[in-house]
Amino acid sequence: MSHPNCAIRCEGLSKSFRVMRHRSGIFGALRALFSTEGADVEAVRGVSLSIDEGEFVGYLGPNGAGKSTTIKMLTGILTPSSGLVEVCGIVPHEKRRENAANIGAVFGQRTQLWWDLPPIESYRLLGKIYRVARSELEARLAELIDLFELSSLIETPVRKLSLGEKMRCELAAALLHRPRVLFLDEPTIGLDAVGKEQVRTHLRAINQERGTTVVLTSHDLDDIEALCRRAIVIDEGQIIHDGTVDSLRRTFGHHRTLVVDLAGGAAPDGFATLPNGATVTQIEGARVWIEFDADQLSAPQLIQAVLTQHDVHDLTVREIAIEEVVRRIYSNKS
Amino acid sequence: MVQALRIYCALVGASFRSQMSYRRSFVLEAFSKLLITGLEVVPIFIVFSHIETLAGWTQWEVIYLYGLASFGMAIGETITSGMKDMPALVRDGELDRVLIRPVNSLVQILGRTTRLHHLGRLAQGAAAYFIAISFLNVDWTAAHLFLAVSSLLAGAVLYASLFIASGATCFWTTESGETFNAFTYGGVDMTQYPITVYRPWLRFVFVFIVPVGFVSYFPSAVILGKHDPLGFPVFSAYLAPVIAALFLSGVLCVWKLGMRRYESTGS
Repeated sequence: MSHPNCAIRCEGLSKSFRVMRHRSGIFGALRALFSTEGADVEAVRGVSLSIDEGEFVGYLGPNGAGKSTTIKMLTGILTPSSGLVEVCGIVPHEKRRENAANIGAVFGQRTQLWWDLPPIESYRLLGKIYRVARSELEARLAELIDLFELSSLIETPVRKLSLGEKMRCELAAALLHRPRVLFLDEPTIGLDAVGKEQVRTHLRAINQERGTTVVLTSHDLDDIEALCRRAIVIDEGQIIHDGTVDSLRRTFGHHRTLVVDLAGGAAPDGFATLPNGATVTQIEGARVWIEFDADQLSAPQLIQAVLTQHDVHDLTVREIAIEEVVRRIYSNKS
Repeated sequence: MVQALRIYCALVGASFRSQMSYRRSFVLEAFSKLLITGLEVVPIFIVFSHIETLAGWTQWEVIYLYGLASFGMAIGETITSGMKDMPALVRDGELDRVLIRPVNSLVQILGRTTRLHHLGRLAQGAAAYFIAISFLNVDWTAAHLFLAVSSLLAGAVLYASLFIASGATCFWTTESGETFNAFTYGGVDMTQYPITVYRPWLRFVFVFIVPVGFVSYFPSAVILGKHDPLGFPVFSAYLAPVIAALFLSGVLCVWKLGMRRYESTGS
């Protein structure tokens, strides 16, 4: 029996695919119908986790780690090979439509809004799809328009909106039917710093004010740090970390990399005297990689130190990549 | 059911409004569709400028057959318009979105992008059908009226089924079943002539396998008072709705099978 406050529960959840070659033409289709050739791929292997209502959880892992396969099983799109899965007490693949009423989803790279129509029309259509009564719909719309500051956007065709505006409209669309669980996939992808911050503020509000459970998958570790208290890391189909974001952060530190392109050609030996917390990790011709701990040293401080010693052609600051986090989790364990 | 129909209509409305934001291109497309399909009738006139009757059928009787097929196909094609997106839906994972909404997936896909330019063929099919009727001396008894309406609707259902089947092949193959065009657009070409002019094997295919010939030829022969040299029993003419319903349920089974495959493979 699931705990009353349990939003998501998986036990030993596994999914393996028999990956078959897609063939062309109708005869290819007929052959695919009967053929059994192909290789088995275990995308998710014995995942057990439990998420309480009201949690804001980051679900992360490298590409192909099994993130989206897990999400697809939670949303009822895929049927698991084995194991147990429950979302708000419902087995998603058995009662997909009932589950659909409980969940909302935002996929950063796609839109569920009608591209050539103003958002308000999409909202009315979604109201019909999710069977929200007309008067109720108008009330909820007013609330969401207020929350996401959409009043100036909802009459403009979606294709004419900026990426950030689109994402705000998208979030409103996903919340119209008051889902208990919201799945977000890369909600800040492609946004500039201001846009990202806006979206994060809204996401925080949804979680805190409405108690909506949020599962966020993102490559952007800043998203995870800014929003989630708990992070679950999956790699090769298995959970390799499930704990607070703080504990994860202790694992990977707060490392960033400053990439410097020198103006005067190849970097000299003993490149520069760097402040504490920064080390040169790689030099290739005129390009130098400096890793630094952002807790000890701010990017402007480091950049200033570099600039006083060298003529610089270009600078970029890179966040630690999820692949690096995964690598460090493994090396910590061993 | 009522709910599904309401949502289907809402989706169709939304796709019409979407296309109206490109009004000029819609008008051009619909007009060119009307012209192109309009030209399909020309060969019939050419054939009949050389002969009086074809297998005992006159020019306007043949145009009636053509109009029946074209009109029925246009209705089926318009209703199932969204099926043409199936390759993209499966390839880009857009089908996932369909699956996480609490509405039947078929309803969502059928309605999602109803193309306005289909109205071009719809207009052409209807024109051919009604003009042919106006030139013919049909005795509109209740039985004939039933046959006319049922053969038209059965045709629409059959062609709609074929378009759904063609979309369903995307669950197994990367392309949309272009092969099915042989039965849809090809079906219209086939059934515009009385099936008695074809070789037995081809007749067999279009009467028993993909029964578009069945639902247009037999009822029309009765309405137009034609003697059927094939010797099928008279009640064959009245079977059109039954045959269309059977064919549709078969196709829906294939669709469900495809959906189940998608749920287990996600591709």
